[in-house]
Amino acid sequence: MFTQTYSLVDDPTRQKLINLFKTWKLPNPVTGMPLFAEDQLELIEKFLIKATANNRPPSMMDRQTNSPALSQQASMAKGQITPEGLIIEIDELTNLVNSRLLQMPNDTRARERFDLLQKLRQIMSSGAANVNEASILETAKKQLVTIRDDEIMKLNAFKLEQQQMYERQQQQRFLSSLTADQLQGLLHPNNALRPGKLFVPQPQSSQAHLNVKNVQLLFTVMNSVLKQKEEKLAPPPLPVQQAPIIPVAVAPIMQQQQQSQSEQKQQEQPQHPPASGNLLGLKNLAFLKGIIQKANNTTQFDLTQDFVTRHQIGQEDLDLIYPSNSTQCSNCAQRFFDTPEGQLEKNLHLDWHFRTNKKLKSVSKQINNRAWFLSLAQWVDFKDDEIVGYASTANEEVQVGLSDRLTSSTKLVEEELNKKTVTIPDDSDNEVVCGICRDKLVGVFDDDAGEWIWRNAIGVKGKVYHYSCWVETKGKRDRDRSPERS
Amino acid sequence: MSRVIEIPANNEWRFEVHKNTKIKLKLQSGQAECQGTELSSTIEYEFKGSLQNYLYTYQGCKIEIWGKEDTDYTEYRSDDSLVYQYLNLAIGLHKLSTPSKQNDNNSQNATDKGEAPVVMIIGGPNSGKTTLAKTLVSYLSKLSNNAKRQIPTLVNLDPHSPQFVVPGNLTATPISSLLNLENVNFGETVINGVTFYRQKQPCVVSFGFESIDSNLKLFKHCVSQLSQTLKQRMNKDLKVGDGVVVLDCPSSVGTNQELFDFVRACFGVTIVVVVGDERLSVSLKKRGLKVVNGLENANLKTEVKEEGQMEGIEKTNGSQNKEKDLQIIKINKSTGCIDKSDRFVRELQQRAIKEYFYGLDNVQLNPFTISVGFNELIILKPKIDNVNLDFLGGDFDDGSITEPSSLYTRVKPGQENLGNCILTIVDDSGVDTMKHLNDFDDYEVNKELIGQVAGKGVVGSCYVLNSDETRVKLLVPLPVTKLPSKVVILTEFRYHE
Repeated sequence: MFTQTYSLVDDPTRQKLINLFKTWKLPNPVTGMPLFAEDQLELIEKFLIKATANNRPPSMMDRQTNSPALSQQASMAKGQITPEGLIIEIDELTNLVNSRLLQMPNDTRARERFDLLQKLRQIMSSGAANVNEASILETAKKQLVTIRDDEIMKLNAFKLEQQQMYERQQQQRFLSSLTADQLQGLLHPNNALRPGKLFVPQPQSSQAHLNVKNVQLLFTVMNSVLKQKEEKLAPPPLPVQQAPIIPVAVAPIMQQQQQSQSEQKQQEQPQHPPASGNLLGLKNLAFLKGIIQKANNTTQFDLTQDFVTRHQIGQEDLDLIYPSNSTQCSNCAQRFFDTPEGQLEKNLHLDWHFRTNKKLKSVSKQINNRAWFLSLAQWVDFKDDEIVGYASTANEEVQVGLSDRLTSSTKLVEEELNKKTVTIPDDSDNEVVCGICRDKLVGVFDDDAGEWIWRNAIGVKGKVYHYSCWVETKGKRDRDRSPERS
Repeated sequence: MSRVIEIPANNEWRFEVHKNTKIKLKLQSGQAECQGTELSSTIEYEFKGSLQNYLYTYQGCKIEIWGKEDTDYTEYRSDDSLVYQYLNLAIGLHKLSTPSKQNDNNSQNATDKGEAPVVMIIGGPNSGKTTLAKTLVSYLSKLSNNAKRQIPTLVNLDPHSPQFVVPGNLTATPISSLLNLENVNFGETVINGVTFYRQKQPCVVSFGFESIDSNLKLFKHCVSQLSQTLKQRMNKDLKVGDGVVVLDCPSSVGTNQELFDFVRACFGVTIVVVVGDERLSVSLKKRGLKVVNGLENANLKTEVKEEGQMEGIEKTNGSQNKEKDLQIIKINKSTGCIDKSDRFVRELQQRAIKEYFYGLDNVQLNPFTISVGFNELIILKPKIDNVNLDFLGGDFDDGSITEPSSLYTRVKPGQENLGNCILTIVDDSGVDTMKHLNDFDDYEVNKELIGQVAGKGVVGSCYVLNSDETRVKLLVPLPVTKLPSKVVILTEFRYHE
């Protein structure tokens, strides 16, 4: 199956498959047994050697010294990020976390992380709308790499401890087979969580081989870890202690047989895993929760009758329509989101108010008319931004309003206006009143022409207007005449 | 004169302003909203009678009110509110409309409008459909108030209750900012001056009757025109395209199954909200309906097809062949609903017409009078066609292509008393009006004309001050020497100054 898949996929994915294979070759740290039958692994390895003559994966022994995480990270970074690739990555991590979970069933963080990885995988494989977004993949990839580093670090540390504590194993022989059975029963639910997908290796198959010895070993390891921690660790870094989750079946026996140790254990569990890992874990988890939330919002939401009639309005719902008070417009009660975009929008909005309020003050003097509605074809091409004023290109048009916009007014630059001059006739006064705005036009002497002129002026049919006034109104010449004048 | 009213959280404060009186309200503390639009604490809101309205508060508030109780207004508080359901619905719709927003960088999906829900509101008369529609678009407009704005569109298919325009028209209006909560007619459309609230730009199609049952064929034709125009707009304008469309339907759309199917096929309705009619919602659920987009998919034929009209539908169809179940959501009738009397409705209509010509109190408009000769005017009158043809058998099934001439008739000068009539001016671009001007009786020519004009966009309305044998004196909203179009539609509505 592995080889078939390998021949089907592209190079980056192959690299990941190789990485995946490496994890298979990694013997179960608890049992010391490989995950799969060795002859099968050999077959695959031969195939891989053949297929990637130059690109043979670093050997098992290199792993602990050679920072495999880095090489993987590099390969990830080089390879194109695809949801499929990420799914494989997630699967790998799931395995890592799962194997750690097997070793430390009391590690709530690991379990949580395991569940989240599962969810993330579901999201990725469900082809949700947002998973194709490059930025999300990017972040997801980064987070996965961090998780991987973290996991590998923990795993390696764990192995070291395992070796150091190996001698002590003998002491723990007295653990009964009953415990083992119960523990195994406890571990089995994990199987239910596993998706039976093509790429997913089946570490659980090794679970079936867990014998009494293994479980004893597991306990040894756990205890040794706890002892070590007791020596190493400072008081719990987190003020809020999580309730220790001790497997119900295990706890009583532990208490009976290793009372002193179990006490230690209860005390120590909140600190587990180490503080640094815990923080990292929290960060990762928060990120994953974000993704899941997003995915829930976008892809899994289904508008139901129940939601409409029974959903209780919570603060988070109100925040949607009443975002923070600080972003509310003091003029009209419109609110904006407390984001950089929202701030920008609010600024534009306030500008708009400023302009309109200024105009509104003089509105009583003006004659206002309703504009015609747009024809269907015009309406199709109309953008509401042209009223609202968010379109950057339409900024100056917004200021002159819609009716002027339709007459394709151009922005008037002062220099250009000054080029429009009218030579003052000999029989005229130096000052003349603009026929449109009733403001004065004052003549100046133009050195170049050697004449008295009016700047920004135009003479039409013997009358003089400001050129700017004339341009603004020329588009609606024919309707400028009210019935009284016509 | 003034007093302060405290409204507890999650309560409605319902008030009625009596005819020819007015009250002023100001938000003193807390938060309050009026049909989805939040009140500002810096504005004194003025409500002019006759009107019935309510304020709702999620967190409690204090309102200062000016006016004489009982003579000017009556009021009461109620904790029996459905506003939270409206908000739930709006949040749900918003969530449904977000996926297509996230796919903006994916050009293939960006044109897929299947994600933004199209909501159709049906229910009995006076069940609060318009209030729900208004609240929904207000909420949706707020919810998408971020960088990638989605603009919800409010579609009014009820010519009887005007939205933004004079009654008798069907409209589609993108709601890009706050509605004017003081105005019974939702607010200002575009004028050449400035308004405090941002002006709205509706797409207007003239129907001409008060009741859609007066001519269902014409109504359907208008609906299909409006929906195609909206679809074209949504394809071009992604902000509107990604927004939710809310259809405010007249009550008879809910009871007439064939009409219901027609409307939802036209707009590609994905969610039907039934207000206050359990029986209707159950019977709709029983039908197990699928989402239908486009008339050809619904096996219903449009009437009077024209070139280019189907463009919009064809564009959207390609990506929407997947069948989805039509969702039916029911919302109870609010206990605040009041049966509107005919007189009350009439008053609202008159106010809408008055506001169209003269504007609101704060921004007054100046209409002009012009005189137009009948020789330069084509007056069409929508035909009354409310005969129930069902009993005549299948030959008269609506599937048949309707004769354009069954939609309108030509009005000869002097034939009708035009006094006080509201005329809607229809866009006549592309129509050879000169050819038609004097052909009153040529059946073929008129048929062609009506085919070209029916369902075209409305440019504006005018009001007949008086008319004689040869000329008609019109009140027009802006200073022009001639009408922008030669084709006007004589509506059923009258206005008295």
